Amino acid sequence: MNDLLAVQNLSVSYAGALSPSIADVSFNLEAGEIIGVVGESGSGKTTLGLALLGLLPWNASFKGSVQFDGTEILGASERQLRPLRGTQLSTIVQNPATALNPSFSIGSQIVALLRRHLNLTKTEARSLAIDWLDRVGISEPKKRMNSYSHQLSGGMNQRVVIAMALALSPRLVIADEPTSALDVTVQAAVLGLITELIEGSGSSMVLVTHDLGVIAQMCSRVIVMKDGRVLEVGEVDQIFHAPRNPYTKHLLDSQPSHTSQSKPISKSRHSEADVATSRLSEEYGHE
Amino acid sequence: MTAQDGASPDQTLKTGGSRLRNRATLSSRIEIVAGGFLVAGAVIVAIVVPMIDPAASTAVGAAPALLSPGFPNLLGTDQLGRDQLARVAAGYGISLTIASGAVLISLVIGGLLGLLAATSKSSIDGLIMRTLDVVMAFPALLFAIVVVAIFGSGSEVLMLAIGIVFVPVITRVTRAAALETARQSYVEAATARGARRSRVILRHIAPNSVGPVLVQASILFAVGIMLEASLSFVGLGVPPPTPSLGLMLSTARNFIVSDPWIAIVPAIAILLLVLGFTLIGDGLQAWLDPKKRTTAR
Repeated sequence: MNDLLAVQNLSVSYAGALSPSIADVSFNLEAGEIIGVVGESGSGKTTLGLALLGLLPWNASFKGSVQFDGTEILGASERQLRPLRGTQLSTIVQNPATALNPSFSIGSQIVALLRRHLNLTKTEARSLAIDWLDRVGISEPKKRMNSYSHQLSGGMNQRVVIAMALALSPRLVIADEPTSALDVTVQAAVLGLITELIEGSGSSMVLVTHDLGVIAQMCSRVIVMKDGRVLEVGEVDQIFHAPRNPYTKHLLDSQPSHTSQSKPISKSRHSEADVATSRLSEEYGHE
Repeated sequence: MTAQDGASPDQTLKTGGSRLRNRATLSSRIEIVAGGFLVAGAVIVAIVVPMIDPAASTAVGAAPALLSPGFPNLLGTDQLGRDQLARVAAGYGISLTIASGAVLISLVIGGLLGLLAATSKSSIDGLIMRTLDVVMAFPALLFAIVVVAIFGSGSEVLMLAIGIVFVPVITRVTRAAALETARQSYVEAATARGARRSRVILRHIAPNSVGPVLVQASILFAVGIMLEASLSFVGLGVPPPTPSLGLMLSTARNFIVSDPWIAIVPAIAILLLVLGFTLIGDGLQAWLDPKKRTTAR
């Protein structure tokens, strides 16, 4: 077993909820792999992400197992998890507007993170932080170190969040809808940045999204979820071209023209030029 | 041309909105500044007047008794010929010290309890909050009277008694604000990146929850001054001859018909100080609350 992440029969339910939030989910993730988790709202994607991080809230009860490199995450104590967090296991959160502490400058937040884990002096940490801001494409990184989250755009905030998530070269990153709060042009750039950095460092990623276009662009395998259950796990090509489950087929049909070579464009309102952006922008419908 | 036309109603809307907001922000700023003036005035009086003549507040018979405001006794004299201005100044000193001490005690204890309650399991949260419900169930004045009856009167005891009365209030406000902050994704992200729980609480939750607590603290200042005045009015405040505003008011009752000034002076002194803190609290609340900021008052 050299899987980086092994999830077996994972079920999570919240106190007072009628049905479990996720039920009997199993999948494996190899080192260096990017796996997508796709599903409609309420399908348990976010809960799955929290479970993988060991961040389930107190009112959640769980069964099954989540093993990260042989270590059980589920039900582990704070003390057991802390050595893993940041350096081994990290997260990119959804909403860049609330992803950074508004009371401190972004520079001081990155410096604090680096010093906490890497045993650096203040100046070393500061120059590494500036380096990271530069790597995630923030112009004038030295000046931006003193900026606060509310002074930056959503895309810039998300770049800072990505820098903080990847600065310690974690082996596994859980990204929960990393781009859904950004506008389309920024989405593409940020996704490109994430892929580049993840692949460059040989990390793995679980990418939670409702956007099949994003999955097609970034992932090698995909998990399709509905109502907390895994309907289908498979290679992206297989899922996109020969979905086995009728729901997957339905999802693909409601997604406009992401596989233009295999399917005719059914909705004529999309011109050729729109296709590229609609891959990223359109959500599938809900019926 | 068309683009301009399209943009103009949007712009009017925008400026209209910001003018409304400015007016509301302005009124809350006026409240804060006015309150600040009253409080600063009281602090200056409390510091400067005793420096001119430290003994004046307790100097019996230094001037004829029951003088009306005039010169040299600007606020008149009481039934024993003591200068009222000097007594008000000394009373302000006592009131402010006790109120500050009480608010500080409640901020430290209540703040920590509130943060703990908000970030702990529901069992610990429940234990903390239900215990404080019991404390809160006592009427504040009655509770303070019991504490003074047990430990004797004195400014430290008053500070502690009033401080304990305030602890549940600060705890509740802190807990509510911290629960709101704890839902933000930067808190979750900090945990996910390996920050200790104490660090998450102190660096991520606490600094982003202070707004409502500050508002509550400045209102509690006003309540503290009232409570201190009430306690010394019924004779449970700092022991005489140390002047205090409540005690001045209490002794003035006997002379209120013939010499109303002797009662009016300490009453207005209390009123101005309480008003000052209430204005600051009210202004801060409007200023910190974006929803209130958009509605002109």
